[in-house]
Amino acid sequence: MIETRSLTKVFRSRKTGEVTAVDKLNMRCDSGQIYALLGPNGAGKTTTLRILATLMDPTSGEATIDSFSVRHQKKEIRARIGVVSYETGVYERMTPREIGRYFGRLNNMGEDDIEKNLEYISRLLRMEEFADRRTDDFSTGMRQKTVLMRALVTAPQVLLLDEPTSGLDLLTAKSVVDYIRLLKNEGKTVLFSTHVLWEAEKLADRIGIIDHGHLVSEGTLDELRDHTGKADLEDIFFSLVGN
Amino acid sequence: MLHKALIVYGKEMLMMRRDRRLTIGVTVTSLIVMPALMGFLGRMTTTPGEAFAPTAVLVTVASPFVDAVIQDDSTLFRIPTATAESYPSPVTISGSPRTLLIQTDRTRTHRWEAARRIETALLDAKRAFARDRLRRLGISPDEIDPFEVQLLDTSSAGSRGTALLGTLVPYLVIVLLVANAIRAVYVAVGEKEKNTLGSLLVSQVPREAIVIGKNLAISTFAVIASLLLVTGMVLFANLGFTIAGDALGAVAFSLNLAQTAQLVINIGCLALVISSVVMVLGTLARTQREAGAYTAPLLFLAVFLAIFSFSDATFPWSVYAIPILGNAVAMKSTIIEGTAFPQLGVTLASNTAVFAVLVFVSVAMYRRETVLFRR
Repeated sequence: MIETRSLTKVFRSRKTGEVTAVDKLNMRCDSGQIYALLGPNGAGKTTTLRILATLMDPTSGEATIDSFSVRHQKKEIRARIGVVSYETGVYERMTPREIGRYFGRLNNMGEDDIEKNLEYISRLLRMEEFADRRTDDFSTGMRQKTVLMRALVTAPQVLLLDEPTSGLDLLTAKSVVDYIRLLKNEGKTVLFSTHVLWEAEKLADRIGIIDHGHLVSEGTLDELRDHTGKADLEDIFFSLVGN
Repeated sequence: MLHKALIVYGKEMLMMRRDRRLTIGVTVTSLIVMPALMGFLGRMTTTPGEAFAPTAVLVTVASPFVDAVIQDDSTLFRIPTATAESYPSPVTISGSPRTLLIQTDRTRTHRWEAARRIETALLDAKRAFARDRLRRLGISPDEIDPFEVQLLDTSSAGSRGTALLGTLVPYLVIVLLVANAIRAVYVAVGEKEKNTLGSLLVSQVPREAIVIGKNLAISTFAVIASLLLVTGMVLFANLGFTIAGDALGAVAFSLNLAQTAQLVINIGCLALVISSVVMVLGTLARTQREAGAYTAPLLFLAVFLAIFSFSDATFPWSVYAIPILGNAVAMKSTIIEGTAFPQLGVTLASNTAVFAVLVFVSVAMYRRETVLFRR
């Protein structure tokens, strides 16, 4: 389960002064659920995911994953999560399989388990053709699949995906979406941010709409419809964020 | 922790090994280009059969001794007073027949050498004249000039080569080591620039393991480049390449096992220090370009400190505790004297301390989100 309570992150810099990226965010994603975080650019989605991924400490408030605190129990959280970001790169001069092995070893996995998981992921993401090719000349889709492979090699229980289909063509995006659905069937907890409303509509059990660091609305799609009186997610989104 | 550091190290080494431009560049530069360049420049320094350059001599004093000395030396040519201005700083012999003054600019090496030859020849002529007079007076010259003094150079090609390379090798090794460590800065900054850092940081790997693994990779790369250079210098010297022209002849240069071990330890420790500086700067930087700006002064500093290997001065103990400088003079002692103990011990202790502090700084930086996610 992923939970945040009054989660706040303030960035301070000489150039921009004080910027509140996440402001008293309260959200909850139960185990085995898919939670979609929707919001415009700069809404605070990436910062929220980075805090949950233990890459940043919150300024105030608390966030937990499976009851472990992101502030105090980073090690336990890192053992449970897989993180994918649209901006994540891949190591050049290495093959996806080598990258997977590298992260598997760093995450204390045995060689047999690594190979078994890599084989499985490679088949599911249809990476067989390029799993042993160096990433140097990979397309965006191939790179994103490599990033997914890297994140999933440890078979994490919780997945934090920051715009996982950003920049992908429709076919590749669909295969990623299908894979996220499969992860849910395997009982994984998935929190993902996206700009693509149909992805949230198709995949998410719960949707949170975030703007200027605030969670402006949250619930199942039906609850959001009731809350806003709009039928379509796009209309719901614009009615909440437009204000 | 060490196991994870070795995993990080293995991955960095794999990536460097697969960077063909880097590996070919380092191998060719260290093993062939630099030693060959030294050999080529050595051949250019003097032309066989013409050890001394022709030197203009302006004589303003009437002296048969001076006339004879200039006539006997084929590289000296007399210039008339009227055209003296067209020869910048010629060797000038003036004064009076009783007091001859030989004047020239010492910074002009060839003229200074010519002036020294003229001085020696005039003193020889004066002595020969005096002995001749004594004989005519029926006095044995040995009565007042009882013995001769000669200073003989007993150096061999090998010892001359060792002395020369003992000066050159530390300088070149250090410059090459620092330059290559700087080239490997992408090991530190690349994760940030290529957006792979986040994935690494959310893995179950301690920050210390990341820093040490990357440090070791940068060090290994720099050490390999430096050792290739030493190997190249030894090979070229022993293949008969002259390094300082005919003044030294074909120098011989070899290292015994103890010297080699000392050099490897010295270079290895220095590499750890330099790589840890590169790690700190690379971690601070956002891009390779920015890292390049941060690391450039390091190369200038290294060049400045390593140049002390050219000095013949005896250094106090405290100098050996200064990284780079201490390594340079200890390396020189190892090559020329055969051993650098116990000075090398001071240098290694200081290197280890500096390395530990810098690793601590890097790890602290790896924990600061303002550094890791600096925009």
